[in-house]
Order: sequence, then structure tokens, then C-alpha cells
Amino acid sequence: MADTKTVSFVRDLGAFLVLMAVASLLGWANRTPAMDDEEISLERFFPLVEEGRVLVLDARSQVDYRAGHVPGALSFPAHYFEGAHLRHAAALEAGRTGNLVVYCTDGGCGAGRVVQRELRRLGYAHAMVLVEGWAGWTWAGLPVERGR
Amino acid sequence: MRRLTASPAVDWVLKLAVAAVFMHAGAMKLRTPEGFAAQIAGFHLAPMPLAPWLATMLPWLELLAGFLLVANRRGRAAAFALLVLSAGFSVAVGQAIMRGLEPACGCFGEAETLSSASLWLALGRDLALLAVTAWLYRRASVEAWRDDLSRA
Repeated sequence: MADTKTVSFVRDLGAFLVLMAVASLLGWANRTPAMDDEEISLERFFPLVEEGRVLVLDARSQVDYRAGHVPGALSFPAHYFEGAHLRHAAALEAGRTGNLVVYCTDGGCGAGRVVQRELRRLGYAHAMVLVEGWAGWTWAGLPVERGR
Repeated sequence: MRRLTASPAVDWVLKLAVAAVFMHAGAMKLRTPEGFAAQIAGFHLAPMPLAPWLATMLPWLELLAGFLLVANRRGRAAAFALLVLSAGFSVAVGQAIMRGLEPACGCFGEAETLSSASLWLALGRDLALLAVTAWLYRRASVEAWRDDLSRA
């Protein structure tokens, strides 16, 4: 009886691994990015980060920021806009005419949009939102910076 | 009570209910896989590079296992898969509560809320699913062993 139970369990484990493999293939086949005029896609954003030609703002909470963020990004939580604006005033001023990209958890997250629109209202005309957000960045397996 | 829990009707109702919950959750997560990846990362449990893979794989696994369970094809394996998923979700939510994290629970696709109350609610739901899937798996296993013994 004990042997039968062990064999059954091993069979179930095998079937589970097969299901996971099939699910992984289906998931991989269904990956999709998108973009619009006030947004920037990961495909365009990543080379700018690599070349250091963009000021990146992380609109998520500081806890999420410390756990991992786009290399070089500044923490700019949407709920702490005024404080973050004052704290990073010098960096923002230096980057006023350059590329400025805000991101939050994903494309549907409102925090990135709030920061981007407020920055545009304050005259940062090039402020854009990263379409895929942090999820897209990690999804693509791109470098992650932690702490600070 | 024993007669009730052994009833095929109860078995079917539980299978349908569990399959419906997991298939609905899987379908909702498939609508915003990027968001789900971020929510997984927010639990600080799996290594960060695994989040995108989990976000694309888990919804399909929920759909496949739910379908197999209700179609009664490889039902025991499907119940096992749903049992593992329920256990995994319970551990993820439980450790988030214990560590004082407040991640968005992406249990049904879009983040529900960021409050700790919603995490307790999610934990209760996951533990209930864990109990039911464990019961379904045990029942399917006992039936399989009986079949094996009767054939021997």
C-alpha cells in the first residue's frame, strides 16, 4: 500500500511538472507590449537607460523602490509628490529639456500617470510614462538596482 | 456527515466550484500579466527574475488544472496541481502578513487593494481552497488505490 501511494504521488508530481511546462509555453507565447503618444515603450526606453540619456523616476512606494528599481532611477512616490519634487529639484532642473520617464508597477498603474501629468503641468514637457512599467522591466530580465 | 462527504454530488459541486474559482482567477490574471508580475514581485518571496515567468505561467496553470478537474481528465493530477497552487498562494500571503508587507493582492488579476485587511481576506480564501483541494485530492487518490487493489 505504501509503495502504491509513493508511485501515485510521483506520478502526480510528474503530471504537475508537465502541466507547468505546458503553462509556461502558453504564457511565453502570449507576451505583448503596447504604447501611445505620451508613453515610451521598453524597447525605446532601455537603450536610453544604457546610454545614460534619460532621467528615470520611480513612482512606486519607497518600500518597493528599495526592493528593486531601474538602475539610476530616483524614488518619486506619487503620494509624496511635493516632497520628492523638492528633494530632486536639482536633478529635475538639469533634465528639464531632456528625456524624463516615469514608471510605476505596470502599464495600468495610475501613480506613474499622476506624476507624469503633474510634471508636464510644471513645464517638464518631455515627461513620459513607461508603458510596461516595473513589471515589464523585470519581465524582460533587465538589470535591477536595490537599496538607497 | 460521512455519507454526505462521500456523496458524488458533493464531490461534483466542490469540483465545479474550485474549477470555477481557479479558471476565473486565471482568466483575469491573463488580462494584465505585466501587473501580475509586479504584484508577485511585491510579495518579496520569489527571486525577482522569476516574477515574469510566474506571471505568465501561473494563470495558464490555473486554467489548465481547472479545466482538467471539471472535465474529469487526469482529475487526480489536476487536484494535486490546484492543491500545490493553493498551498503556494497561502504561503505567499501568510508570509506577507507576517513580514508586514502590504502588496497588492493580484489573486484575481487587477490589484484588489493595498490594505492588510484584504491580505487577511485573501489568506482565508486561500486556506479554504487549500482545504477543499486537499479533500478532492485525497478522495481521488483513495478511489485510484481502490481501483488498483480491485484489479490486483
